Amino acid sequence: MKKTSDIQALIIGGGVTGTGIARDLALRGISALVIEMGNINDGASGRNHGLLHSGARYVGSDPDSAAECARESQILKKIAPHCIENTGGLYVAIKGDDESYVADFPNLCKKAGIFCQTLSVRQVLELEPGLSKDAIAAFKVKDASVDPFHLSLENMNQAIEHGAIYYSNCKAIGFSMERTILGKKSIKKVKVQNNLTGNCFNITPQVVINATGAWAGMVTELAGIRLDMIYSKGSLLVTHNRLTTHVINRLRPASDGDILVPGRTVSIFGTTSLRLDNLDAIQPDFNEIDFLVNQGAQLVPGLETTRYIRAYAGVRPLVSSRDEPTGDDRSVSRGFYLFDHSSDDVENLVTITGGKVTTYRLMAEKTADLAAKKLKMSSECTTAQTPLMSKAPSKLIEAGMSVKLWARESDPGDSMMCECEMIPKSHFKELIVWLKQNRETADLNSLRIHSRLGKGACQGTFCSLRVTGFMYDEAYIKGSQGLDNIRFLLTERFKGQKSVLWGSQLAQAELNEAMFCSFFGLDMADPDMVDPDMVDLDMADLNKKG
Amino acid sequence: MENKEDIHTDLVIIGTGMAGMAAAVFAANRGLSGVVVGGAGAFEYASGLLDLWGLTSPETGLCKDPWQGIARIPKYFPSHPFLKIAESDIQAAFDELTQGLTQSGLVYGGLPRENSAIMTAFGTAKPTYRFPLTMANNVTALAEKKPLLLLDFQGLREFRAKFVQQVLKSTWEEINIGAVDFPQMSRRSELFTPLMAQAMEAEQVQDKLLAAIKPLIRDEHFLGMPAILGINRSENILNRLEDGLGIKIFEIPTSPISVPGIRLKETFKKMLANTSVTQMPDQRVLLASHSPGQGFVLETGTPSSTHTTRIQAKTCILATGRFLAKGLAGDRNGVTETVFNLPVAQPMSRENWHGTTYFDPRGHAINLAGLSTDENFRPLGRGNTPVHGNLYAAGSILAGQDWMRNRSGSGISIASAFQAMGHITSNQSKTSA
Repeated sequence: MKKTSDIQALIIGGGVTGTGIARDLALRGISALVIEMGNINDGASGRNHGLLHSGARYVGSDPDSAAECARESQILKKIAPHCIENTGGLYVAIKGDDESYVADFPNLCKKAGIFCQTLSVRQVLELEPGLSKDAIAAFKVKDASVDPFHLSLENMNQAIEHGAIYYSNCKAIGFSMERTILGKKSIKKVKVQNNLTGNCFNITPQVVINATGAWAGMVTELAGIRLDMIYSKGSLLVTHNRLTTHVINRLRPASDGDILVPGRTVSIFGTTSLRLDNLDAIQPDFNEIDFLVNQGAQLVPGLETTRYIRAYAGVRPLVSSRDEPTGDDRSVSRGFYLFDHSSDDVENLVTITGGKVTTYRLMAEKTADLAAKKLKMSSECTTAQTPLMSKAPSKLIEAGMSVKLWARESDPGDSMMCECEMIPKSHFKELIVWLKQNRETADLNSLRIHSRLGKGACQGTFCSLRVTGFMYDEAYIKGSQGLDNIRFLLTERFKGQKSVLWGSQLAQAELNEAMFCSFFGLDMADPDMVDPDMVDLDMADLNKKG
Repeated sequence: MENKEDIHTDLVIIGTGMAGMAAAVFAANRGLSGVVVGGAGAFEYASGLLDLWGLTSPETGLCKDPWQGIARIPKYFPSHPFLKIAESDIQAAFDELTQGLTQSGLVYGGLPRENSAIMTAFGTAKPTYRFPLTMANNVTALAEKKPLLLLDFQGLREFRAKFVQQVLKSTWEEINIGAVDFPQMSRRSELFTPLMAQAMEAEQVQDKLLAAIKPLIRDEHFLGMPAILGINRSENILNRLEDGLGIKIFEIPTSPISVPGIRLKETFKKMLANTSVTQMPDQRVLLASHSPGQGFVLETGTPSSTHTTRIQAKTCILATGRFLAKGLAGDRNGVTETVFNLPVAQPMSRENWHGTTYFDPRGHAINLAGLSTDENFRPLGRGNTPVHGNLYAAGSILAGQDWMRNRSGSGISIASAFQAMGHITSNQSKTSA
């Protein structure tokens, strides 16, 4: 493994773009280090629909973007088929929707070069019986469903296999600048802090790539460069079951609550567009949830009655245009922004932000081209041809995959740790070995990130305690770490459940609280909060046996 | 074809959890004729520990003296059900119930007026008021911290000895682990505590386990194991193993499905057999109504069968529990009561149901939602008067309490059932007088 002192490119941000750039550079033979202040895809990369756009959504507003989506989604379907489910997409208008938009839609698609096939109402209801009977028009497009976690993990793992390094929980907190001979400024040293330990260390890269999404302005600030970002929050809901086979889009100008994306065993519905002032708390509001359920039920009535297991919100990283203020954030380009900060007098800093999961590979390519130029390396991008397939056990994050592997291996001594997602002990064992090899912490939370642990209906009730028991058995954890692990996992899982706790999920939450608070006492397991007398009761008066 | 049956009785108890079964036992003890009807699963989620009160607020910490904690209730929970019951009645309710359980072969113990600390499968200490005798040495061992041997079963996911050992090791010098295969189940990759407990009823299995444990014991004072020592004769099994091994043995309660909970369920069944109270388990109330002439009329059945039963009763105790037991239902617009659609005291909007931090020791506002009642646990309607003169509510469905955070589930169930029963019997004697 390379030392961090030899690193050519430092990538800040472990989302789909940052990990995509790491893969791109690593395949070119350029050494890269990714630092991520949390974990892979903690930002917008992990908080979106998981929709691989056909481009049809942008045919009205941004035909260039639409064509870009169409090209890139074709490439990803080829290089990463295991991260993608080729569901196909439907655009459906319902009674009351703008009929002139419906009429224009096929022409707009044609102009942008996007495939679009007209369906009759009868045909579309046959394809998707869950659709509203109020459907009035429908078109078939080439949308697909992509697992952004799988994509980022595979990017990073393949990069690591080609010499890149990844540090989670590490944040860039300062740049030391120097003047070049030509009088320009350059980042000499990057001060990095580990958020878990608080320890700081320095990295001396030749190029710094800022791939921090909505946080981009905060990183350029470290170099004294102002970059005005617009924080546009979008909230999404996750259903317990999969509701449709296709991606369903509401056929109307891009608006709130109009896309339902199936992702293996679940469906994801969204989204909204709310301006935020800061990035301190990115959570769905309750009225957004109610709005989404009501909107969604117009398109797919089952969205009114289905069980929701989670809700989450992401922030679209939009760059404010230099001249005029904008009304609706949707009119701000969804294309990406690549800044060579030479123009801001800092030679070796590059910022990439904006864009979407569908075009991440292209964004990474353009960024890597610029970085390579700065490093004076002549190199060619191979990411569009190289299969995105690493040797890491990241297949465990695919819902339903684990059970297939388990059935194939079927060791009689192997026991099931998670019944919602059917993950046996052996898979966690394999994952922990891999995590350790890659110098990642092997705790409950990182197992969650790299598998389906805690992601099923029970959201961690039974798997958390079983996996913790297993980790004690294997001596991966000691002392009271297991209690901290469980507490952390359930606390994190709760954040995404709070706004959808009604119906069956509310009952599930009650079972959780009864178990972990009333019975196991984890709400008081902090030793500072427990009465020290409690466990030293005088037992002299205890009722005698018999 | 539909199949109907008619039952006329004095009292119908809806709910077969702790509150419903306590009410049924109290009714049987008082010679009231009645029916207890409800689902089947409640006790599988019960720990088997009878909590009274374990925590008032995070500042005061877990309580050694539950009565001191209860005395602090007015400050923290102004409409708590315990404020409607005399302390002596709470104690009398516990005594009546535990005596009944003991007489039916499930012995419960505890300090006269104090909580005891029980070691859980997480190695944490849980305060409880009354515990099954198979856990008596659990309390002693946790207090004395003398050398302990923890029994570990290969494939039992709900209990890992090392988990307990590691959590306790900073305060407990010697905890050893002895791993065994459970007799006749060693080929299984997953063990389930209810199946193990069932198997333990056979002496042959006990002997095999005994032989497997014997060589593992060195100089330990105690032997701790997950709660699997049989369903119906747990004390006998414990004694038999203790005699054979010459060591003090105890059970450690585990997460659901819980064997000590199933023991309670089975013992209640025994206690009510051949009494004035008829049990109708595995039934859901499909329709419920009340009229001045007929009293309460319930139609009960199972979702999978067309066979239904019509129950007509003068008096009704609603002990249907909260969201998990389906006594309350929460949808996006609010919380409703599922049998009679009674008014539910609840936070103003769904946004206020939960706080931001899951493990916030103050709990969540939704936990306090439920039925508001008068002093005799009759649910209140509009105008703050009882909805019906003969309708009572008992257990966790009651408003103003947070049994999960206060560690008071059984306490609320047993005491409110006791109080309601007191009022029912005094009313009946008035009517008959």
